[in-house]
Amino acid sequence: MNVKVKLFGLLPRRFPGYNPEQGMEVLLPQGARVKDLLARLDISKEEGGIVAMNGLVQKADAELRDGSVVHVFHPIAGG
Amino acid sequence: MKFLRVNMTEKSIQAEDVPQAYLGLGGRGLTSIFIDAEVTPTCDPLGPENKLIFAPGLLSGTTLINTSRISIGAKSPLTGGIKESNVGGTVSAALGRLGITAIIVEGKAPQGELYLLKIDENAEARLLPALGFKGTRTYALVETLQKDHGAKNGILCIGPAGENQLASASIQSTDVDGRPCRAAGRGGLGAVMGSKGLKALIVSQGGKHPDALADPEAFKGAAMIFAKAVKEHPFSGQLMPALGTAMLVGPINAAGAFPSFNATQGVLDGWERISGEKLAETIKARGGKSGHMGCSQCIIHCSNEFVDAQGKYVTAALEYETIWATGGMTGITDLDSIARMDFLCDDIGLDTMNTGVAIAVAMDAGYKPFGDAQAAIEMLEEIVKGTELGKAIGNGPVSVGKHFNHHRVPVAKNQSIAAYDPRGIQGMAVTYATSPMGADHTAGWVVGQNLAAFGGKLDPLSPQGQVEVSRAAQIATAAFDCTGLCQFAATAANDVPEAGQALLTLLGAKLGTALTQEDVNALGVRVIKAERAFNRKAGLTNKADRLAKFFYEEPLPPHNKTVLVSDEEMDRTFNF
Repeated sequence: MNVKVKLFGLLPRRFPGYNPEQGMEVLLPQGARVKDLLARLDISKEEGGIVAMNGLVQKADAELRDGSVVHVFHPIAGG
Repeated sequence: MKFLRVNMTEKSIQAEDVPQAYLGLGGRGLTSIFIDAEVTPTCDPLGPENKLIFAPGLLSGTTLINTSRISIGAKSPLTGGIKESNVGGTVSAALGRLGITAIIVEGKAPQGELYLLKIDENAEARLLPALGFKGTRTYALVETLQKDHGAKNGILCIGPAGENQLASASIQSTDVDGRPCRAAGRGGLGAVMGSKGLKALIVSQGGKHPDALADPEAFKGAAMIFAKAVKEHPFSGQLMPALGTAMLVGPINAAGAFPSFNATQGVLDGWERISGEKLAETIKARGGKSGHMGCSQCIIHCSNEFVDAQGKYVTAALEYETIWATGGMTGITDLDSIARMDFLCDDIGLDTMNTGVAIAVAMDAGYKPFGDAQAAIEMLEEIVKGTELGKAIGNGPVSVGKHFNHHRVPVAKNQSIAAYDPRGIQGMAVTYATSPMGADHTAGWVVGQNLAAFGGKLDPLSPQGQVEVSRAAQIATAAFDCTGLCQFAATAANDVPEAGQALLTLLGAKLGTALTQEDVNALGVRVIKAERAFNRKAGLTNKADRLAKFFYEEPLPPHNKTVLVSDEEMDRTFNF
């Protein structure tokens, strides 16, 4: 399946040629989970702590759906 | 270790040893326990019985990094309860280096009189007449004060809003560049300072007599470990200097919890135009500064200097909460207008959050359309003119709701919520409703735990477990706010065990007693107990620990949830 990934914060710098308007398509096996996507992109949990699929934040074990738009943000802290 | 008591009725100043009851306290712990002990809870917040206390943190004035928070406390004219609002800048470290534990401002100058309180490098304090500064805005004020008294002074001051005793009035602090751009914004403490007849505190940064450390060697070693952890942590070491607090715009919108159009939408259409990424890009393209140092001894540098298209300074430290209040809530998705409003709030001396939300309530009531930046800026100027509408805006969202007879007023205990909708992150409903401070995101920030993909099972849209995380966060924060440390340095202390241990060592080495994590938690509980005791005596019972009614009735798109935490659960938050 395909998901469209949009990266925020300092994450885009990790992917040369990344286009912030378009995001990037990532091909994954059926049944892949949020943590599998992050592993595939080599984004550690220290770097990518918040993941939203189609506008809803997800836990690491959530299953991804084909054609979804996935936003990946840094972990947040503070107040 | 001394208190300076400044009596504005008699124009007298007395230095006294710190009374036994307050030994070992600093920051919020000192201000709250002091207010509970010395202020009549039912007093008029703007009358002579109220007291305004300025207390640097326990570690302020030491060599430790990021210890520049000063707590300011009083009875709040906004909430009617106890208030502690803290701010960075330069005054906390300056007072710490002078060996001053707190400044207490009591009484009230006769109507029409105005004073400066100047504290020199020998910790000698004087009251100076300041009638010539009546009505002066903060940028012009500090420019003159620095000319008259030297640039090596930290300044806390009020603008016209404080002099006019409006309930959203802030106390502004100078940053390391001497600009009055950092605010103890919440709870109308600027109005209390105005009621006393005090325009500014001018504090020498040349003090050389901080309180002695009980164990300087242990302190030195732990300070190095702590600084290293803060520098190496990805959040405080990389992300904050690159994007500042505005980095939150993206994730909170992604979570559907960014209150927009006066909290009728959880996602702001066009949020990418006002995101941290966009802000950093705009600042870079125009030659402004990201990764700017705002506070003494800071190594995080989350501040920024926003400049216009010509590269001219507009404002410093355009922050997430301000971008939200003056942008998201009003539907204004233009950084230049937001920066202008931030500058005006600092210059007039207003809490950007309470004021942005007040403008949003006026727009929602139909006074002006959402997204009208010109109208928003005019509303800010109305505050200075002192018109009826200006007074309503300057007194905050509840006052605007009454002015327009409009029901949707996003507050708890009369104070506006912050940039996390309690319907989209239910844990923030608990913090906003139960904090003794009124709706205050810094009192127990449970956003990270709710949204994190890893390590935790909290569902932001469910009330399950939210009381427990809010309770723990509020206790930890109440203790942390005693230290003078910046909350952004707390991340390293929470995530890196050696840094957490170092913090205990630092406090122990300052106080001369070995501390455990349990001792620190007990301090947090003690502080909250004092705050709640004051509030109860002031008439704020558990019935005040609720959010505005519409949060329970009007679902927030896109998740279409209301606040689901029951009153009974709210009342369980402080089970001690």
